[in-house]
Amino acid sequence: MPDPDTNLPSDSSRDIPAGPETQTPKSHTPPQANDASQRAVIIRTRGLKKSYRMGEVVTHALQGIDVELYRGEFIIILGPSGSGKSTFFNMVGGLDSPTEGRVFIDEVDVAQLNAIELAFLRCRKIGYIFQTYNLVQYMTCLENVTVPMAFAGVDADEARERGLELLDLVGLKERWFHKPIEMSGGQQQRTAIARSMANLPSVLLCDEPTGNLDLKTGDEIHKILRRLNVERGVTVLCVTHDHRLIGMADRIMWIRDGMIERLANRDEVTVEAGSIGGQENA
Amino acid sequence: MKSVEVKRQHRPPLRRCVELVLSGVKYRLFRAAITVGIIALATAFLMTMLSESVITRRVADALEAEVAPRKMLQFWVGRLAEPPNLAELSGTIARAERGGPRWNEMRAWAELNDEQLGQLHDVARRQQTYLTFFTQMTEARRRRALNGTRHSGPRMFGALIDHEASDADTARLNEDALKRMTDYLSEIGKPLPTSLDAFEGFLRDWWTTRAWRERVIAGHAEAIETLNQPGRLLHEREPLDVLATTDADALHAALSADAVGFRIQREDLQTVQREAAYAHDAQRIEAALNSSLLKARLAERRNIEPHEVNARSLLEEVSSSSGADWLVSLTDKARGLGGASLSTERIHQAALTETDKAAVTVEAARRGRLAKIVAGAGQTVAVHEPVAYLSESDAGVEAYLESLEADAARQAARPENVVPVVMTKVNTMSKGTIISWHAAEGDTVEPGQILFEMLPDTPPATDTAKTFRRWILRLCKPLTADQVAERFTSGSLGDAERREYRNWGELTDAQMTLLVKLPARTQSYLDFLASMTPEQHLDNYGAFPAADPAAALREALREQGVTLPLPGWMAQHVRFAERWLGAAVPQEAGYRLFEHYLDDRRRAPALHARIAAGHAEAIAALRGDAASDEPALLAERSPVDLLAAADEKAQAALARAEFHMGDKDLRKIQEHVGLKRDAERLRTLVTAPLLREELAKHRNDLSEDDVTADALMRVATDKAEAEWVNDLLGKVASLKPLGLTAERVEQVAERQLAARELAETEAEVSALTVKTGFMGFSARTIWLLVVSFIVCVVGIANAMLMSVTERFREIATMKCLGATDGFIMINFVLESCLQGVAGSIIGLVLGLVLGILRTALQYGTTALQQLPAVDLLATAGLSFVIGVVISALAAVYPAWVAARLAPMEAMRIE
Repeated sequence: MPDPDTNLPSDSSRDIPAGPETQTPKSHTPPQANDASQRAVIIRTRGLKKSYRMGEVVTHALQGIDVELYRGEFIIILGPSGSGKSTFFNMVGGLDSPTEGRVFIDEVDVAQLNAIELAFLRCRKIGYIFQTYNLVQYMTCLENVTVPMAFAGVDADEARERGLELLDLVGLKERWFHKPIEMSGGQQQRTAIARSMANLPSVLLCDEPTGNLDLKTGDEIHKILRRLNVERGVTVLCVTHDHRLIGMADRIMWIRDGMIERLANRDEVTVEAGSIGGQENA
Repeated sequence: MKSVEVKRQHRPPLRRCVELVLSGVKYRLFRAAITVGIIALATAFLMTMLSESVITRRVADALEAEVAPRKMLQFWVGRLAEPPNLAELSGTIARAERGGPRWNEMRAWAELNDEQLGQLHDVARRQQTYLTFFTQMTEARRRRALNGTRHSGPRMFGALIDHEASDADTARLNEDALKRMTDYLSEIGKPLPTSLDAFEGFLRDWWTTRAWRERVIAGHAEAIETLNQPGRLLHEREPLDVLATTDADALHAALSADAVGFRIQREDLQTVQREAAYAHDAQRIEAALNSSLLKARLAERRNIEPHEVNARSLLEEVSSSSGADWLVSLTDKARGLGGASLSTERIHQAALTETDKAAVTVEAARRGRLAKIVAGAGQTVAVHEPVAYLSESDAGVEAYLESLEADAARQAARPENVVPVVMTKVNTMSKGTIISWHAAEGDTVEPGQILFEMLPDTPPATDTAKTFRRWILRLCKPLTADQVAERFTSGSLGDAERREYRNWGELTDAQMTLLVKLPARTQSYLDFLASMTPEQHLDNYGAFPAADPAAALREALREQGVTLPLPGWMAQHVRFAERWLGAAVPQEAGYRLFEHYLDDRRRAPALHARIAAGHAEAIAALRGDAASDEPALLAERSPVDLLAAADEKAQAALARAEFHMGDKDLRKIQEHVGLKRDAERLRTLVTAPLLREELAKHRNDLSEDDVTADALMRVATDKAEAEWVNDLLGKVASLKPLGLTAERVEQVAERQLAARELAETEAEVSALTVKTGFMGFSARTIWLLVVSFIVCVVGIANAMLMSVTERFREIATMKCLGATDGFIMINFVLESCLQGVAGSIIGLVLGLVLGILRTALQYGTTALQQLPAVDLLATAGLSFVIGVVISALAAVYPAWVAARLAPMEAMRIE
């Protein structure tokens, strides 16, 4: 259970601070702690830009992002709607290709990969967790979990064993035979987490994982994510509006108008919490 | 820093894919069912078409096999009836096998060798090619192409021959005509099926071999003629009857005799004979329909209108065993009815004649010895009076008769051993005249044996019967003098009778004239007397007294001053004389004439007696009683028979015995005899159970057992009833016993029905097979099939596209989880394939059932008996493959759309 005190009031996330915007156009390199340079970089972006063309209008979703994320980090991305955080998330997850710039995942240039290699990457290196869980409706809990294993070529018996293990991890072992429709939102999301862990990925990409859940179940999900992060050393990149996560994250990244507004360690943020809160509240 | 190795993504095994797809399909069962339905419909349509075509072809083959014997029969009936024409012959030659029966026949008929026949065969085959080519043109085009020929058969080629320059061995072609033909053919864009050279070669060969063909036809005609000669197989008989009824060996021998030369193999002959027997029997069964009674009965039995009765309904009825029994028993009941053709009037007259009982034969009622005949021929006896006695001893009878004689009251007791034979009473008669005895005294008679013939005294109803009756009497009963006098008085004395009397009485012309004129003279005096006034008191003399008192009468007349009239003929002369001479005829003349009359009157009875005696002598002469060289006419037959014979010999004999039958009497007697014969015919009709049945039904007062010949006669004396009888006879006309057993009737009817059905089916099938295009389908059907499959493809593609749209998130998620584009694509194609499999199986079962049902409806049971299982299975396989392939193809585009889906769609939140 996260400490309720660490959670900022949820309405505070809506605030758009005027100050930081002018302050951080060049803060591409993370202002990391000293030991950060020694840690392995899992995701690196270089001048990442993305623009969409919608009829005559060209929307610049990302306007050049340079960032390095380290193995084993728990990072949350905060930002208002339309800030480009989802686009960033897709780029990093190998789900979309950038207009300009590069994305390296485990030092592999995603842009260089063909469709089948990308599938390989998605299957084994990245785990995805969606706001809407995206479980396959006609499969049982266990089957859902073992789908990525099937794509990875794991044989059925081993897949079953590992699937049950993962379900045990999220506390659903006893319910492996349930269909998604028979489960609550929290249970579904836990299944989705188990599924994302199927092939022991390096990175977990979470897109508003608790967006459809109530506070209590949201907390459970957060705790599971954190546990995975800590126990399994999985890098977690979480796009969220939920300020409660700030207390769990190693680093927090604010994105606004396709730029990194701010990238800070948790302790910096918690120290500033009051002032930030005050600033935001002001 | 650790670098990550990126490899090609693993592809899950197909089994896993199938599992995945199946669970997906189960989840979206309704949509899958619709897709399956579309495929099932299209496949069912294809399968119906295919299976129908397959079954139809099989039915056509089976029909050919079944129809073959019938065709063979037709072939043989036809060729035994008349020789083929040129076109038919060409066909036969083209089909003939070297050394086969047709080959040998033609070789013998035309006296050709194998080489020549081979040449004919070759020409005939080539001819068929050209004949087909030209006959497929319209007639106008053909004429134009072939030098304006009017022929449509093989003779059309003659138009291209230069007849004047050609002879039997060489053919000169009409080059101009050929040139025009080739020009015309190229103009209308229909080139000859072969090169022009080949065609010209054919024309030359065709010309030079034509004599041989004619020889074959002539030989065939000669063979038929031989068979038609008296005593030969076909003499005045129909080929079908001959084939149906002749013994196989005899038939084979007759057909293949050297002078005839038909060649038929034993087994073919058997087939032909069997078919002929069926056809023959079928003809007989169907001939029963000529009777309207049968039609009416059949209509009643089948509960249809009489006008709906036709050969088919008859056959259907008798193809059941009860129906066959019915027909056989009905026709059997008509036994004895056939061929009776009488008019209503004739039936009526015959019945009247018959019921008159002009002459009745009396049969012995019991066994006994005929001891004494008391009433001989010509004697008249009252009803129930004895005419003869039966007794073992003559003496007993004599004694009894004497005692009767003695006993005035005729009450003498009859001894038990003397049994009288009495005059039978017929109708209302009171007396009967014996015509002749058929048994002689001393004979022993059996019950039922005819004893004598007699003539009842009831007056006959018809004119002819009167004449007949009179003649019988004349031939058996001598006239008395009084009767002779009466004949003269009657005034109806014909020339023939006058001649008879003159001869019988051996009278002179004067005596004869006297007798003939006497009645008229008597009448004129009687009239005169009757016209006298009462004052003249001559009433007493109204009737002539005996001869002598006439003198007294004359004196009385004189005293009273009565002028006696002149006879009519003389009165005219007198009036004539008075007018011219101006003088009255003296009264004395009247008296003189009256005296003459009275003299003649005195003489007449003696003459009458002479005539009567002469008549008796004549009868005796006929009977052979008197010594005569002539064979006695009436010795062996009764007068009735003699008259009934009415032949010339009898006439001559009668004339010799001075019986003269005038033309009028002769005609009447002949007519009477004819009526008697008709009556006899009517009597035999009653032996036909059908008539008894109908009569009993018609007359409520008669039960079937009551219907006897006499009853029929009585009924027919009524004119309306006679008409009914005549109607009935008309209705049953030509209904005669079939001479077949019920089983045979049933069998023949079944076969005939099957043959009819076959013929109908054959027409349908041949109409169908004529139109065959690709795989036996018409262009229209193929078009329908193609459209149906296009619709099917579009439908499946649409359903799959919707499925893809619905599953965007799922697909994108899968891609996020590592699914490759190929996997997604395979998944969708596989899903469609599985639906295709299900749909095709359903569709082909449905289509097969439909196809079989449709063909069964169209061709009846033939189709079901001939189901080609292997072919149908192959067809089913083909339909299955087509169904699956089509569904797979239809899914390719939707699958491609799905595969190209960007994985970030998974993030989309609706």
